[in-house]
Amino acid sequence: MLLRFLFLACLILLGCNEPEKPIRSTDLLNDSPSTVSVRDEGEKVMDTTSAVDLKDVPPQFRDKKLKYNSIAEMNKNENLRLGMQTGFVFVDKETRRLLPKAKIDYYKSTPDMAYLVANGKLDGFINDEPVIRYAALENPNLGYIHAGFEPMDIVAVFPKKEKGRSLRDELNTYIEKYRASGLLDSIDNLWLGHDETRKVVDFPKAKEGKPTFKMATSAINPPFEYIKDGKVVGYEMDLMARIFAEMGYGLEVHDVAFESVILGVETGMYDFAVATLSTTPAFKEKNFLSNSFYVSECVMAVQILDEKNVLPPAKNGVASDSAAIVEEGLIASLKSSFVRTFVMESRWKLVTNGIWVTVYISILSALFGTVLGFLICLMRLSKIRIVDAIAITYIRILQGTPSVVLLMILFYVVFARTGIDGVWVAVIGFGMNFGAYVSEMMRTGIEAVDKGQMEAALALGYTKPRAFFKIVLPQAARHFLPVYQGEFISLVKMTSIVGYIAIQDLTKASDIIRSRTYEAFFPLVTTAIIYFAIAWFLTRVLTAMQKRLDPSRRRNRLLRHSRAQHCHPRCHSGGATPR
Amino acid sequence: MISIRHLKKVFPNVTPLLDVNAEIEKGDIISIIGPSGTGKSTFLRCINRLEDPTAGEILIDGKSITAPGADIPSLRRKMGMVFQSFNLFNHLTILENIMVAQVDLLHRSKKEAYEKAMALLHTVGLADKALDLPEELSGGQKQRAAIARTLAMDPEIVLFDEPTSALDPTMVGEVLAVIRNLAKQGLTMLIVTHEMKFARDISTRIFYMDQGVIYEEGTPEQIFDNPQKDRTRQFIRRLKVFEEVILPSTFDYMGTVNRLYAFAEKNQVSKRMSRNMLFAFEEMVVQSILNRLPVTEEIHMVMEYSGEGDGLVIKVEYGGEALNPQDGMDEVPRKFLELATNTIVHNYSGGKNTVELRIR
Repeated sequence: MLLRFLFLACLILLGCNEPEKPIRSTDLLNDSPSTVSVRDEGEKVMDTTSAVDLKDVPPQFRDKKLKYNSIAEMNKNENLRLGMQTGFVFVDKETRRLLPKAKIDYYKSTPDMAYLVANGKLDGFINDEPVIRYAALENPNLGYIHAGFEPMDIVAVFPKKEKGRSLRDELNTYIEKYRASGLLDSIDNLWLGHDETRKVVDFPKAKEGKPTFKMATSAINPPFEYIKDGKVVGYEMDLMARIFAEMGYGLEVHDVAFESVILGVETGMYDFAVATLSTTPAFKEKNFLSNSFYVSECVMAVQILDEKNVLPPAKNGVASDSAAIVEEGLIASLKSSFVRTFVMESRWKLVTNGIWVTVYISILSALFGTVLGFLICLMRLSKIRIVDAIAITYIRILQGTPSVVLLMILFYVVFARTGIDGVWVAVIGFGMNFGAYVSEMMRTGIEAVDKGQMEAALALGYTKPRAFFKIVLPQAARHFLPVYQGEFISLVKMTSIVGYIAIQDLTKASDIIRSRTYEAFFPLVTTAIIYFAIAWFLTRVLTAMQKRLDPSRRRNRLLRHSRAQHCHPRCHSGGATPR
Repeated sequence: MISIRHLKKVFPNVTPLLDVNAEIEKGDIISIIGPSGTGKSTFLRCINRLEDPTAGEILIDGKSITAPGADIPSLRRKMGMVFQSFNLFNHLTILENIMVAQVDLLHRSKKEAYEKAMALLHTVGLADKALDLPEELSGGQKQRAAIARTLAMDPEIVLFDEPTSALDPTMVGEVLAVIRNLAKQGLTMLIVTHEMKFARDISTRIFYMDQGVIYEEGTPEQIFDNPQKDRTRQFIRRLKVFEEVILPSTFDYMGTVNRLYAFAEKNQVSKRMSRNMLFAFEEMVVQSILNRLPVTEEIHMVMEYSGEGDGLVIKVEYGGEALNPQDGMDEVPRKFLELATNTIVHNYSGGKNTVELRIR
């Protein structure tokens, strides 16, 4: 099947080079005519490098100048830097065997690495051939070479339990049925083809009396699974949706970080995982695997050196001209970046939804954390030693735990089997963290209020709790609100890690967009700006609250009020005594 | 109205109240005076339970407020307290300070509370400051506002805890004037104060507290004009006291002289007077008494100095047979001694000699 794909790709790309079919070429590569000229340039380059051994270079890249033409060539580079998808245990091991000198950095998504390789920041990374091929369609500067990997089976992974086995067995019968009827191939064709209108997945709802299953995936691996129009789509998703619809089961898809996919299955959080997972020995041992529904070879992505990189340094006279062109090009490229980041596939919906999730989690966590922090603060102020000690222990533990780790513990350990929504886990996690900081803040604020204030209230006949809320707390709030505000802003920013537990917040939305546009600058900068705007807005709200607590402002309001009241008779008499 | 029985308060390292007993009647205006650190404030704070007494009983109108389960907030509502450091609520305006407890605790309407507050602010002369914040007021104004806040609750008794001690001398008068006015209206008051003239003028009774008890109590005339006990007198007259017990067998002449010097220096006794004092001590106590006294007897010497008029008095007390030190004294020292002192009085009764010298 792999061969079939290569053959197909060759045909398509060979077709591109035929001058009488220009429409097809732009169609396929979704690119401007400039690509054609690059290709012409590439042909010239090819002439000079024809002596190089090109046996590991797929036919469609033979006319390009690749940074490396074989693994052996890569091995000659002493400072080789490779990217690696976090969680690719088997590939990682193999890569280290093939390229022992390489320095390997770990990344969360393929598109990020594709972007870095295309820009020459990384020398290469290894992933499934269709994934890199798909990335190459979006990145004119990305190609790949064969790395000598055996083709691997792509499978679905089930927990090693009775429930997992029975679901797997059921799935296997359908996979075989689809294979026999040729349906597998036609789904392949659909997702590796270019008819975008048909690339839609409908996850089925359960028929009456049938269960709904939770499927974990990591939608950063186009064309197998990725986000389009705000929905998880892709070859594997389509296949699973069709099979489950036929079985009558409901299917719920959960998009989580790649390294969390298997974790989620092992802890029982999800019923199975489909995320371009291949049959490695480790998987076989610890999980039940379905029959293969796709065979993929792992290949090495490498940079295509285009004319920009090859061009000698510009002469002095030309420099200003080219600067002007660059500037004009900047506006145009920003425009197209904007369109790609927000307009295409209605990606703005991802962003607005992400903003909402970020704000929602921030505010709920702050509310929960404030209440919790207040209780802990009361414990801290308690004269009972053990209560104080418990509060101190809580604060020290929470202050010493990274929020990501706390969040993962809550999601994958504490609440793993409860089926509680990730958003609530996030609220609890951030709230617990926020509470620890807020309690100390409140305590210092309360201790800064003169003891005499409490005594005076008690002497007037207030009960202790009432005196605390009526007299001490408002004064303490004036002390701690400015610090609280800062802590709240850091909470807003801290929520950017919720992607770890499968929540699509603003950061995750920008990750998803980047995985589709293969672009880093625009989505990241706009995300930063949006975070700034959210923080600014929330700061304004808190500042307004703070002003309400400021007594001199309230006094001025009272003064205005009383002046308005006094004005009446004076105005009246003023009008009555003109003569 | 208030009965205090065997009140005792122990802090981890001091015991300010040992055994305090007192009866306070309606309409009493009692000033509590005494040296610093003798538990005057603690006594006041125990009465409204800002401090928990270690032992003893406090009855208000026959009801114990020290018994477990006593409704302390409602008892406190009958008792106002004015603090040394005012303790106005910093986040509220003066008007709100006076209104808030009325509305919250006495369930008065805002209008009633407002009218009451403004009336009180007029009587303490702060009506124009109603909308100011505490931080914008001077110390004296703050204390007057605090008194108004206390009075707004219509207390049956007001406890004043050193109301003028934290004030500039220039502001003491305005606060005392407000309290004087209250005294005229017949309000029951307990005032811890260091303002002696004020205490004498307005009080019906004076408690002199010392050594953890009410050491002496009486009318202002009794306490101020005719105190019965030495410590009371020393306090009232603001006497500085030097006390030493001299044993003939272990007498350290230089040590005592040095301590006398230090005493004179510390209390700014004039040069002439301290020279005379030392001369009198030398001739009288050392030469005329110590040298003639049986070795087994001891001499109790007390020296009292007051900056205001009373001058320096040396009192010497010793046992044995009647012994007037002036008898058999040489002519020259006697003459000099007469020059150094105003009077020398010797008494002998009950086996005790007392000599009192007023130094010139």
